Amino acid sequence: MTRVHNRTIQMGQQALLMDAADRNTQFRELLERHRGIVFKVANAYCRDPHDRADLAQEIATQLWRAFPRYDGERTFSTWMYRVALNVALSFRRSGGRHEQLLVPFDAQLHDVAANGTDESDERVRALYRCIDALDPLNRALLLLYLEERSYREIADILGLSETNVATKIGRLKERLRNDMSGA
Amino acid sequence: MRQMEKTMELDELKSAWQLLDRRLEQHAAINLHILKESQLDRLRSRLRPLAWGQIVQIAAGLFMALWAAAFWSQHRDVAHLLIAGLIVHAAGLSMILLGAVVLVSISRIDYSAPVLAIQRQLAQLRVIYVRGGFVVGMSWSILWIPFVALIFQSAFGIDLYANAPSVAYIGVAVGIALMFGVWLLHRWSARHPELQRTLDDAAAGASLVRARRILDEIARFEQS
Repeated sequence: MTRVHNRTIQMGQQALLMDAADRNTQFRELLERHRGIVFKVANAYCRDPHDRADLAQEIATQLWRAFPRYDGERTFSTWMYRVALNVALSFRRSGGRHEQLLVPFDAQLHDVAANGTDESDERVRALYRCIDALDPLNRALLLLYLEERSYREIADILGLSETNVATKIGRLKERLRNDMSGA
Repeated sequence: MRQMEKTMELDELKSAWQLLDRRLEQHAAINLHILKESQLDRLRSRLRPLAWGQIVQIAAGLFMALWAAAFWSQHRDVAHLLIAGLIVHAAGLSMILLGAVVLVSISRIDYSAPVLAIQRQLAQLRVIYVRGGFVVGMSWSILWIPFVALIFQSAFGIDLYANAPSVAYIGVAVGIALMFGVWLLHRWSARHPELQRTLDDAAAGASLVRARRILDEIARFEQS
């Protein structure tokens, strides 16, 4: 009786270990496939390279923690954007390690902007200026818009109605257009 | 450069984003260390300082409750020592309870929920935490008296109330007056939101200001 009981426990433990291993592999594959989301969110919220790396790491950590609750029926990228943006907003509000140090603007961008032609560097810098001029929530909206996510997905990620998303994007476009023409 | 920004339209913004996307893919500055780590479970988060604060509070409350329980059980025959012990015991239990409530709220935060809901939840949690801290802090304007009485009795065998009852009377009177004054001020300021905000900010400091700013920001974003 005891032997059968022990055998059952052993089998249960093995099944759990296999589940954990499968989950681990599944998570790695999904993260690898969608890693661009992590990089882009980190890049939109942190200018300092060290903070950016810390934020990317923090997003990955929280993704791993939340993964057991991920519902496979839903789109992985939507789920990932929610976690990544929530972490980025909290990370930014908690204050990065280096963000407080006022590094000259061009030096901050050097690492990402340096490996292109002059013209493309300027385009990336101008893009950063647009992003940096926005508050954290509008920044999330712009990021999702630039990522060409549907209004429905943006609404699902941010927790707004589709109509509200459409209105906000319209206003955001107008604001950016005004900012650009006024620069 | 300015000319370029002026002529940069939204479509160009999108193409700049795609350019950046390609560069980020190639760029090795940001590494996902997680992909190299074999032990994912060992990853530690930086976003948990509030949780650590609660663990410290629970530990301190536990120590106080155990110490006070041992104290009052030994002095059941002396009414004022028994009361002092029970008050400190209750304060310790309250610290444990408050810490546990905040800790459970933190553990229930699901980062995969919609962004606005979670950000609002986080900011509200911070407001509750700061306000709770203020109430706990205010209660110490009286709590220090039984606490000091316990220390004197436990460490030096001196019954503070029996030897210097005026310390307790004056301390309690000043403490009650202080709490009453703060309550009156708070009630009066309720009719003047700006003043109430200034008083809260002065009492709770930067944390509350930041939490409120976040809530305002969310409300503005929703309404805009």
